[in-house]
Amino acid sequence: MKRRIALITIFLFMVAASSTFADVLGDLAQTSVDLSLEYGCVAEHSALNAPSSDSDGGFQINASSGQKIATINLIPVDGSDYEITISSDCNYKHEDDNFSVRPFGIDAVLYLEYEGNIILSGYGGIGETGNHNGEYNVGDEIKLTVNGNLANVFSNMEPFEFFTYTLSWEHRDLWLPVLYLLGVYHSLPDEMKNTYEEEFGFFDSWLAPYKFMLEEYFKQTPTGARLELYLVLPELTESEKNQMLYAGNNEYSSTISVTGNGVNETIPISGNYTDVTERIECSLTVASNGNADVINLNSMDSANSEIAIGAYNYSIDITSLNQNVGFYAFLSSSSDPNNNGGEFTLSNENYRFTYEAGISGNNILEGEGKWYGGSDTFSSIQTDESNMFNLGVSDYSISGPTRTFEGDGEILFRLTDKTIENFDSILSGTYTSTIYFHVVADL
Amino acid sequence: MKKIVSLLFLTFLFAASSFARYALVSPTTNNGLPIVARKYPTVTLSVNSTYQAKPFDLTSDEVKYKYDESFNNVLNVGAWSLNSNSDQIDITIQASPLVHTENLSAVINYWLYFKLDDSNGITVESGQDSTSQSLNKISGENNIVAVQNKPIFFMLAEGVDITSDEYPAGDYKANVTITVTAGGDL
Repeated sequence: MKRRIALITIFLFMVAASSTFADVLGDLAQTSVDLSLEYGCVAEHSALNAPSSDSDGGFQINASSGQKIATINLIPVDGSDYEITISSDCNYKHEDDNFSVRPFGIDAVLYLEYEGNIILSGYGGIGETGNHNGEYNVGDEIKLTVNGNLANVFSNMEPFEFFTYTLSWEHRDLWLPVLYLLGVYHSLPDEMKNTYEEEFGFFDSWLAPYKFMLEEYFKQTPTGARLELYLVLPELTESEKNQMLYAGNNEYSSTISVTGNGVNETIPISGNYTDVTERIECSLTVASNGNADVINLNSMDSANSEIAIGAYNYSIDITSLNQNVGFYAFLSSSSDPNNNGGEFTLSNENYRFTYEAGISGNNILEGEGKWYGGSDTFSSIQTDESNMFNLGVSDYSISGPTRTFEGDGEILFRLTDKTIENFDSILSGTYTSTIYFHVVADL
Repeated sequence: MKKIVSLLFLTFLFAASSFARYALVSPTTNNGLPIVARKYPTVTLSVNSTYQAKPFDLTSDEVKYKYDESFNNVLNVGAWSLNSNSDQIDITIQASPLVHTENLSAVINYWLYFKLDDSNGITVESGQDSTSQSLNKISGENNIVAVQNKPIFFMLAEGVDITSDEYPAGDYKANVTITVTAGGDL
């Protein structure tokens, strides 16, 4: 008894909707006459859709998935099936280096329209879509088949297959329950239909007018069809991004072919890969070589006296499209390179005197190291660039935009001339200080 | 006035842009390289004996005992110099008695006075335990312990009658040992 009440509720709902259905049906019938006179399937594809700002109509290869590549307008004519095949090797290649290949994917959606409204659609995908076809295989293609005679859709409907189609209509909210019920009923085995007939004798009679109207509706021919292609891009790892970046030209391209039902189009796609987040990461160690633990000042009292007191080494991971990035270093008495910590001073509770710290290294371009008095800052060394200690240059052309730049060297110590002049006045004792090593990149 | 303001603004822009291409790579703060430097204590000591080449006369009035803590008007037998970069040193002086070179039983005691400055000195009596004294940093231009060519005075000990038979004529010799120890905050 409960089931009966539920069905009655639905039918009442359908009756309320019937007047709207009749109005729309009249429009459909009149329009379909003209279109049915044409024969064949003519395709017009729009210009390559350019969601990015590229003036050449390309797309950003590093763009996120889901960008529309192209819209192909199809002109439906006689109610025949639409069979559109989309194929591509799904690899975009570097213009100069075919070894640099990255896979992509395509999602394709075919829409059938009636006077601007989508009434049916089908979709498929190839390549690195992840959504539809899974893993990419060379030679994959999409074959979209949508029955151009909508009556066939209705009559050939398998149980619940209805939901593989999308229906859009301005009164969609009202029509969907009707179609659902018809679809279910129509797909039931005969014995079950008979059971329903016996239990709800009024079922078919109630439904008959609407079933008739729907069948009439589905006999109509769509007034428009279009195919939309969407780009699907796999997430690239940092390593893959690095492999795709070249000095200068980073143009990649591929093609997509669309054929079937008179359509034979090749759609070029191209883009400039520039997804580079410039970044620099530096690991730096500065350690005593033992001499810094106890510098014997008694032997440092002449201008020529200098010793290596420590070693530094650094490893800089840099990603930059700049061709050559130069690296520099300077020493200061402040741990913060932006602050002036004053002169290098060895001191204890009784006395203090000045000294200088120097850098030498394996990547030195000039023949000798540089000496620092301790007061330099990030700002001051830029004012006097000759005061930068040149660590060398990382070359884009050798290893690409993501490079690791490494080096090491020594930290030197000597007393200032002023301290040497007054060396005898320095009391015996233990003096301490700290030398800070800072690295700068010229981007 | 407007022009001046514009120029200043442009100058600022130029200055800012000239720095723009550089970037700090190392961490804003880092541990740095701590260094320790030591100046180890040094001592230089020298004694110049005025009479090293020609012995002085023990019977002269210059060496007779006189009660005078400053050892005025006694024989100057030499000069000494001492330098150290340590802010404190310890001096130990031990003087052996004068002993007759042939008659070893003939022994003469005496006093020595090592002058430090105008008003201070170290008094040493021969035949006694060593005399020790700590010297602190001497204020002055150089913050170090320094004795620059100060005199050493000599006189016979109290009660010594050099004319008695106890002290036969002849040559007498003695050794004076000066030990300087420099410390410091090491």
